[in-house]
Amino acid sequence: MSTAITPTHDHAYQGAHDARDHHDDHGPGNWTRIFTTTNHKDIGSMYLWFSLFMFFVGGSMALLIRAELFQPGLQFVQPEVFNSLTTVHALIMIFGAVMPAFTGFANWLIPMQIGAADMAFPRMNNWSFWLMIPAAILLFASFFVPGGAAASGWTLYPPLSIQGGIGLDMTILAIHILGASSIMGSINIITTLLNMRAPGMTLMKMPMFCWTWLITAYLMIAVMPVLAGAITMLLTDRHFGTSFFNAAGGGDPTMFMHIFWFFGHPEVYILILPAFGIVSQIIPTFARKPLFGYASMVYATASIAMLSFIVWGHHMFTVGMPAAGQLFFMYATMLIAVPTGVKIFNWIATMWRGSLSFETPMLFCIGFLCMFTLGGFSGLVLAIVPVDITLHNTYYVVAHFHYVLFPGAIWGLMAGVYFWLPKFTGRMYNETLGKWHFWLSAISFNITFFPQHFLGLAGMPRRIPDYALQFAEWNMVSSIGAFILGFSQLLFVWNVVSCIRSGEKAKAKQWEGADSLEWTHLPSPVPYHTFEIAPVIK
Amino acid sequence: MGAGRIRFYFIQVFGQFFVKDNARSLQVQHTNRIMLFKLLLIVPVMLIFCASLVPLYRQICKVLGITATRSMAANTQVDASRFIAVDFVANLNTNFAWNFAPVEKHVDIHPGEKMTVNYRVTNTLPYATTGRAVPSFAPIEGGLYFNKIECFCFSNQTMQAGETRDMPVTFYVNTNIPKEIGAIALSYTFFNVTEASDGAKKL
Ligand code: HEM
Ligand SMILES: [Cu+2]
Repeated sequence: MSTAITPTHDHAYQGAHDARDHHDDHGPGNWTRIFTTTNHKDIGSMYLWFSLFMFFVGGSMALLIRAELFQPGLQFVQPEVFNSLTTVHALIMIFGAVMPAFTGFANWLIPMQIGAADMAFPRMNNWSFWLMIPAAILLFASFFVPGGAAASGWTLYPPLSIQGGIGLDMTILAIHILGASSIMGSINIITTLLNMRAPGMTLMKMPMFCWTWLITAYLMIAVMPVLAGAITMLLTDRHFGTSFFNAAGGGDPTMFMHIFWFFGHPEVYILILPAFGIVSQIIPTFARKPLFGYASMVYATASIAMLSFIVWGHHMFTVGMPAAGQLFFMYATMLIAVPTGVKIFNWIATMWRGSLSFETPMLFCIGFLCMFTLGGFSGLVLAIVPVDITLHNTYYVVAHFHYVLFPGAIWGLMAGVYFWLPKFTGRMYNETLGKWHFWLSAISFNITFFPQHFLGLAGMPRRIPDYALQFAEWNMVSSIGAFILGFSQLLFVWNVVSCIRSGEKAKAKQWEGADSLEWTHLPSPVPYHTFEIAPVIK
Repeated sequence: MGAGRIRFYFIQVFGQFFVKDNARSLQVQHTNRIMLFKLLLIVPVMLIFCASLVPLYRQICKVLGITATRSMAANTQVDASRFIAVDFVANLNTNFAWNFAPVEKHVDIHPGEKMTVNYRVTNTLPYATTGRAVPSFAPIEGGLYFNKIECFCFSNQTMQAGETRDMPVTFYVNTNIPKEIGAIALSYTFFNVTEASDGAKKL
């Protein structure tokens, strides 16, 4: 990317700006502005804080689950509550932690990286954030209504999701609201990326983070309505006497699974593609080399997104699908590993013979690379139909998706926070503490989730509060790991808070290898309004 | 005012409800709004797609014939090249005042084919009685290839005074049955076991 900058004066814009923007121009200071702000940086921060909070709420639920599974037998929670915990843990982590955190980064970074002044629709932006609050409250409150929170698993399969109490209706409503919020967010991001780029910022010059978000946003607009449709049908089955999925009235529960996973598989890529983008920016920075195969990265991301629409059947190999269907979904699933592999090799090639240095963001990216690849491999194992028939619904699946989601999505996000915190706040985090956070996380993550492969292979089913005695040892190991993992995340909060309050001053270009606009063109901390005059990218 | 102009005003005025634009110029602002409506359009399209998945899914399964999947697969275990004649006989042990007779006296089936037949039993006594049926085969080797999946002879049968009941036998003849055996007679004899079973209950 070029560094030459020529200010241009777009007179129409200047005039329009003065007329329109003065009311939210009061900058930082008054906290009540969080309700009315339309500034992309404010909204980005709000998203990030919200998701950090939800990460800890979801994490506490996970620790309760692991406490219960520390030993066989029932110790802390009843089976019904246990099932609610696994359900709401997943929903909170997916819709409350990972997705909003990515949107938070999108808000902060996309306008700066393409040289725009703000998002295309700032008022809608404020809306999409504030919609999440009632949704989160609904999810929490559902624990306290008669019948408790949804206990059907995050996949909401009937018949359990048809039988549940009012907590399930609240969950469905919450998902509707969160879906609307993500659709609005996505529309905003696509419009910003396609229409608001600075002169000279062609699509193929955009940083990878922008590209992955462009593709993710399209995925979201395409599949969120499908989820909304499916859960609406659930709702009418529950209350209005329809029988889409209700077997008692001639409906077909398997059909729900098809529709759900038509949403669900693209959803897992929604949860990972923006992390691919973050990693694709951090690795070149600390390898001090441009990203290897930029164009192939773009095409690989796009192919992953397109293929993700035709592989949903790998979640339901055991429903009694014809062999032809199983074979189709098996090969299609394995096909996705090809573009994913392209990305992995490109990251490795970027590091190859680079002048590597290992600051915290880079450590998290390398952890991401190793562990995510492992998760991809266990995914490939599960893609093999005869193997999946024995491993489906066991802890092996739990191990698989935690390997792709924790080091994939969460470490991607952590890397991003450490990487951009100096830019956002103008202050440096504590490098030693960051490294502690990484190593504790990396070790305890593996203590927690690696044994779950063994448990799954030995036949331990997922989503159970109690288990046969032969599973006791590895469950105990896993629970110990989980508690270390959970509490090490407090180091992260401590580091972020003390960075904001008393970190050392950061340089405008804190990382010498960074080359996107926010590093090359803007001071640290970035001012409240940036690129009001478009930079010209050559 | 041309159609293009009307569209422009529509988008400008209507778009105002949704958004406060942050565009650098009126042109960008306008293209942003067009984009907003285009992208919003994807939402109902995908909702309709989702709803249409319900009938579509049924149709596709029907067309491809994948409704009941595996259980639909042809049973390769049936030997359709030959028939076995099976005769059903009923006997009563002495002093046992039940009526006992096969509903179907004869069936012809392929080896490997599953079949259910019934015996009709009436307790003509004025009090409840328990009986136990014991099967026997002719020829005796026939019994080796005669597999009962479910049979009233598997357990004691208690009949109330005057009760009538159909008692099923589900069976198939093993495909290994030698060529020379073309017919099997299955005969049941009911024994009165009331005292024995009452004694067992008292114990
Ligand atoms: C090479 C890439 C991948 C392959 C081949 C793959 C394959 C699979 C298969 C076959 C299953 C179903 C297992 C079962 O239920 O029996 C599965 C489950 C799952 N995968 Fe992956 N996967 C891959 C990557 C990912 C990624 C990148 C993510 C998310 C970031 C992900 C998240 C999940 C989740 C959440 C589930 C469990 C869903 C549930 O049942 O609750 N996978 N994967
Ligand atoms: Cu999947």
